[in-house]
Amino acid sequence: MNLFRFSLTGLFLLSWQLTDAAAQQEPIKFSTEQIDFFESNIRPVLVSKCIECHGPDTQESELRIDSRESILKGSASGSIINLERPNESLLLKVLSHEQEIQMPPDGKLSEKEIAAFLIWVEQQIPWPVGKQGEITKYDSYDSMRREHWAFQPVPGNTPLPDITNTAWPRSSLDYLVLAKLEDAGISPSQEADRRTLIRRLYLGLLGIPPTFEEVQAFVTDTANDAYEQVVDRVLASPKYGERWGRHWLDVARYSDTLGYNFQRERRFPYAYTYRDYVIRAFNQDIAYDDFIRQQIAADMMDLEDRRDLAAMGLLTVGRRYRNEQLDTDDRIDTVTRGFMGLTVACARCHDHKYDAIPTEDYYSLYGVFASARVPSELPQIQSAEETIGYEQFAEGLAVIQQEIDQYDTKRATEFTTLFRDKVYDYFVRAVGRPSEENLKTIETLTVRDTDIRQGQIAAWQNYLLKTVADDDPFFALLKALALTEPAKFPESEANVRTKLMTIEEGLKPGQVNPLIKKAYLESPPTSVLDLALIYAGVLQEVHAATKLAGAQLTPAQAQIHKHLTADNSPTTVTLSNVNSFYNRADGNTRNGLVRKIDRYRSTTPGNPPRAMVMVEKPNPYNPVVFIRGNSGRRGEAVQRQFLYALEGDKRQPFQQGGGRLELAEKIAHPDNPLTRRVLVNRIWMHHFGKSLVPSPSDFGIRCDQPVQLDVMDYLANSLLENDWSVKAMHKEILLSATYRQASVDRPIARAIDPENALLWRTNRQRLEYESFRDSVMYVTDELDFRMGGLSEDLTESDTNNRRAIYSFIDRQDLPGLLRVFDFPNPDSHSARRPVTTVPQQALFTMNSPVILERAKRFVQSPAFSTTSEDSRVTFLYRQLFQRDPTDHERRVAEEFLANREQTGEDSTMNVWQQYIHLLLMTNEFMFVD
Amino acid sequence: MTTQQGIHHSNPASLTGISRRELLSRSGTGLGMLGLAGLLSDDSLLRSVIAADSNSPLAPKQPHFEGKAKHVIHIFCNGGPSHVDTFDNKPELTKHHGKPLPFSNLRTERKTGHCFGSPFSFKPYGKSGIQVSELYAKTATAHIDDMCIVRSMHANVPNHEPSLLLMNCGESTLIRPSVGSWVSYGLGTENQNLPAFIAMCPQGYPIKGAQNWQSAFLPGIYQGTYINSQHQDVEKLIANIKNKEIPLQEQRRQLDALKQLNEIHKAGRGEAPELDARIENYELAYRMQLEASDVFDIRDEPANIVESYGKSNPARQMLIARRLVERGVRYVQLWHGAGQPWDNHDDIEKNHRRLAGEQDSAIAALINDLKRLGLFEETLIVWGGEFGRTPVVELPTAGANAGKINGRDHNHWGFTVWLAGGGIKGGQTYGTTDPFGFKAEENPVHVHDLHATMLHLLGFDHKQLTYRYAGRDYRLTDVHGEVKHAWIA
Repeated sequence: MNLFRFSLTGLFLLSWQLTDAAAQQEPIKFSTEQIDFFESNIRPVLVSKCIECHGPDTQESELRIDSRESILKGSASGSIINLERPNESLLLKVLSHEQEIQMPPDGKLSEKEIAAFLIWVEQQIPWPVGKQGEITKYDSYDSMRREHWAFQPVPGNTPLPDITNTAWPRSSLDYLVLAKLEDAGISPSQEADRRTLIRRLYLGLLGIPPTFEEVQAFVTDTANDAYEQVVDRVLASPKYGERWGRHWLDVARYSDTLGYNFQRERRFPYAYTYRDYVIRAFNQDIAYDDFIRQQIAADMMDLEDRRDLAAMGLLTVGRRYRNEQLDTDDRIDTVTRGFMGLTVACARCHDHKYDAIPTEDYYSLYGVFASARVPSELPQIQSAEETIGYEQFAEGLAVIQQEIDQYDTKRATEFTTLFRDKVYDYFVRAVGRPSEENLKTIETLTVRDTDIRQGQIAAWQNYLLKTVADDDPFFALLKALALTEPAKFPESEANVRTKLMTIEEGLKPGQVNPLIKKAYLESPPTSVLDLALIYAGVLQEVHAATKLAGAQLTPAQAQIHKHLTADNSPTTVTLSNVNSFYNRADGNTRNGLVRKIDRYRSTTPGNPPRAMVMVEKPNPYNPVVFIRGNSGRRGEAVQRQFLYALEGDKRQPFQQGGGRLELAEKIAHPDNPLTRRVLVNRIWMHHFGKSLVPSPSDFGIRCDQPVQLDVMDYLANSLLENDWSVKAMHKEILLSATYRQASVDRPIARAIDPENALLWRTNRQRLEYESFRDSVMYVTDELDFRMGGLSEDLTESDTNNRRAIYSFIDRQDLPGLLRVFDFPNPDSHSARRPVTTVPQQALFTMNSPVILERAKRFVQSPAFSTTSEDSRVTFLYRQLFQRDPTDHERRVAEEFLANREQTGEDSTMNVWQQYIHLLLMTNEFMFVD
Repeated sequence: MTTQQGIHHSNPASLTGISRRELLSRSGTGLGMLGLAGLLSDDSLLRSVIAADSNSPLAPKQPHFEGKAKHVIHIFCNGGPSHVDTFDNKPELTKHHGKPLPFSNLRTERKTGHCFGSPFSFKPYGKSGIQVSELYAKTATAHIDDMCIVRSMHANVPNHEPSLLLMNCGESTLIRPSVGSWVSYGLGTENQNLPAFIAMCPQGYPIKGAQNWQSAFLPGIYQGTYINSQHQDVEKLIANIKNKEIPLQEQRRQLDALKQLNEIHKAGRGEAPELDARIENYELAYRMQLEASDVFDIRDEPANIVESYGKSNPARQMLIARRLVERGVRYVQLWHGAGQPWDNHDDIEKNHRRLAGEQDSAIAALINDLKRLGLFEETLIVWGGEFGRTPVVELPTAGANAGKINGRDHNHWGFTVWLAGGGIKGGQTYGTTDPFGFKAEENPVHVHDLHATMLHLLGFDHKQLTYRYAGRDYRLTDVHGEVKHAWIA
């Protein structure tokens, strides 16, 4: 390096003069052909190979190559272009790796590319003039768009590859898999036995095992399509939606609570309607493109089924941050990663560091979602009449509502009395507006400043300004002077006093109430505060008079008192305005009651379901870039439109409202290269325990092209052919020979492909928490199949045996049990669950009453107790594992059961119960081959 | 050591069901740099049971470099302790008591008034002569020369919720993993029979609840395990740790039969690390039952030790914290009480005296104990709240406080935390607030800097301890944080 610099010092001086001369020349006119040559041969290379280190962000060796001028200016080593002797240009030497400095550092350009550079230099480095000549970030996005596999259109199906083992494939996708296996010299695994297959189908699709009878029927079924029939059966089962719906709820970061809220109820009363929509969508096989549209923009669509509105829970069941910017961010993240595997949310504060996502695009989508809001009243999706238990619910609701009404009524009465009794204090403050210092000097005040209800002061001011007429016999004087500036007060007051002498005493409009006239003239005010004190004194006196025994007010008094007692008096507090007088302490008490109502609504069956929708705001939100994500630093305005990475220059701003439906259409469009691939990958992941693309929610630049891209694309095409039917895609996969392989280890194949990327076997999968729990309940005949409705606490309860998907999920305090079983954090979209093995999981199966209780009760069940002693082990094996025990297993059982007298006094489970319990703990129960 | 017998690493490559390569790619550069092998220092072997399975997410891991601290005890004075009444003596404030500040009051949560001199007396302690208030006389008398008092802390806003999250997770609003979760992720833990990260709070939750010890996008196993320390029940510590139906010896028979059945099942399936892992997991869980149960049972502690801590809930927590650290727990967070006990908007003299009284002996005893057991040098103690309190008096707000005009408002502009043990250079103060104690002035330390330094003491470059999630690498300190080398011995 040093040597090199040395040798160039001389050259540096020389070239400086050269560049100088070049710079002074007139701009060269380049031909269209020359410019085209630059655009197609040079610019792409500059953008993809050079600009990162020699562009606007960094200038290694002080070299920038993003304009003709900067290239001619050269680097720290001097000029890099020799226009007179192109061949001697330093640039070309560096590119051809002829010498010490070799660029690009991670690999030489192709000979063709290097040759193009020579031609370009010979042409005097043609470069477009002005804006067209600039190299911007969009140039590199363009190269990513051109080059990254996931951004390329899904190609049409190509002819199937040649394979040797033609007997093996059952589906086109098998050809694609087999061709790669044969290339690697691995044969596929044998087909799994029928019991294994049907268990795989049931546990994978339904989350519970088949019964022994179902297994037997399949094992002995000689029909050619016996397997296909089972596939059809599981796909038609409503339990399928409960299993696969849960997969989607991971994507949708489903939770039953909004997160942290100190004062209000944390539960979403209607989150479950989204969960139930998702289950129904899978069961009814709602076309996936509709599934997308409905979840993003059901409110803007013509729906056949009103319940589909609940789909929009995707946008609304996220954590509520009480900050629209963060709520919107969560929505952008869930939608873009969830449907397209694009990490758009990374571009909130700056351009995406790795992906083709400029920060402008983030704000384009921000504009779309910020144009919508959650309405205060959510739409009901089922009538009260159709809702079972509605009447009971309504009765209970009325009782709590009454508590709030009672509280408000009580406080209203108390406030009314208080405000009348303390009218002096409030009036002085409302009209006199004394300063803090002044306040201290008024000895007649009795209410401490901290106890003042500000609402009452405002009410008085409002009353005097807006309700009381200017010629009111009592308040006319005050109205004439109350807003006078201090400097002008003496003059105005004198005028008013002069006029007062001419006004007739009396109680009609235009006259003056004798009591106030008297009080006024006794000591005319010198300030507005004085005036307030005079009035306050009269008001207080009149009010005091009403309290005397047998009090009879004079007409003049009565007129004044009316200002305190009329319906529109500021001191008259009713249910409709009591709210404005509550201070923080009252508010807390009342919030407690409101919370009780909200809790009731969220936990009581019979509350008619509502959809957690968003609706368009009256005017769409016009987004600007928030610089570094800070909404206080507003950058340039951007359009509401789709992503550059997917549409490039062709995109158009959204037209309808905020553009949510248009966005959904873009995502659900057959030409979107990501949406279908992302779905295929997710579905594949659940069937095979491993995804084709290892980052299911990030298909961006850093995601390598998967080995099985052709399989993915084949299934993506197949999805279109089947009108976006998810069930059809399942079927295609489930019928394949690839899926039907055994999971047994094969050391030779493993040596070649340890990751099983080539799919030489099926991966053995551990049951997820939900499937394990549901299966335990199911094999002990206790699973409660009721579908839908409010979520319930299932993690603590040992008596509620509903399916785990109906478990109440509190994102603010996720039950420990779910956490130790790898349940995903419901605060943001989850690409896939981690698989950890920790002792807390074992403790659950060993000790939890949820499991123990199943074993205990099953022994008491008729099914078990009517089975003869001798056949019980067989019975249990059939019940739990859908097969007969082997001799070896029988011996283990006999040995364990023989020691029944060892069951000690402090044991509350007999040996049979203990035996069932241990069978539930086995690997065979927990794993799917 | 005896419990090690019978544990074999049949295949450390992929016992969790995910392959090593996947694990590496999933966790980004961070874990890659940590090294996955379950390497252990000999001293930790002496007193803890080691994971059989080096791929367990909680298996001990090597940090980036040799850290001085191996454990953390974070004493959290939730609600916000007043620095000017504890560790930041302000004679000027006392001098101006009842008078306005010479500069305008900084904006805090509520209205504040004139200077409010500390009602507590300060005096110098130890060789270092650092001034500490009478509230922490015992702690200061015994240990001031081991403490580093950071007087120039500052945070972002004067509200509990965001400040709690900032102090615990390095971010005020968004969902991010807590410090304890990051540390558990980075270091694993030394005792597989206990959780790596324990958050204790007597009688309920602090404000923000479990979010304070959340694992966020890190796997759930790194989340803090919450214990209501009022209960002292091991079942609250580890769910399902006891079987109420089947006595241990019968359970042993069950597990023996289970093992046989699992072996039968495994035969013919070839190499199956995921099956092995689950078989082994039962043994681990079985032992956990035996060994975890004594943690809370302080009956075996000598009477004089128990007495030295004192009787309050916070004090008992500290004794339990020592027992946890002794057993290899990585990160212990001690919350003073449910809600926000230190939030003394009123009656600060009475309340701070009571609250500090519940702590002072216990902290002194805890440090004594750790020193006695040789654990002080490897246990980092951090004391502080989510922010401090104003040097000026809080003015009453109707219905919000008792209106007594003898308390202090929240103050994020300047406050104190102190650290001790675990590689901290004691007997020093770092940074200052202004002469009245309102705002950090000299060498201000942001919460991110505190986090960066804590990670450094544990052996991490805070910029390198990362987790790949949703398309990017996250770290505790986001794009901030500066290690304060001056604090380190």
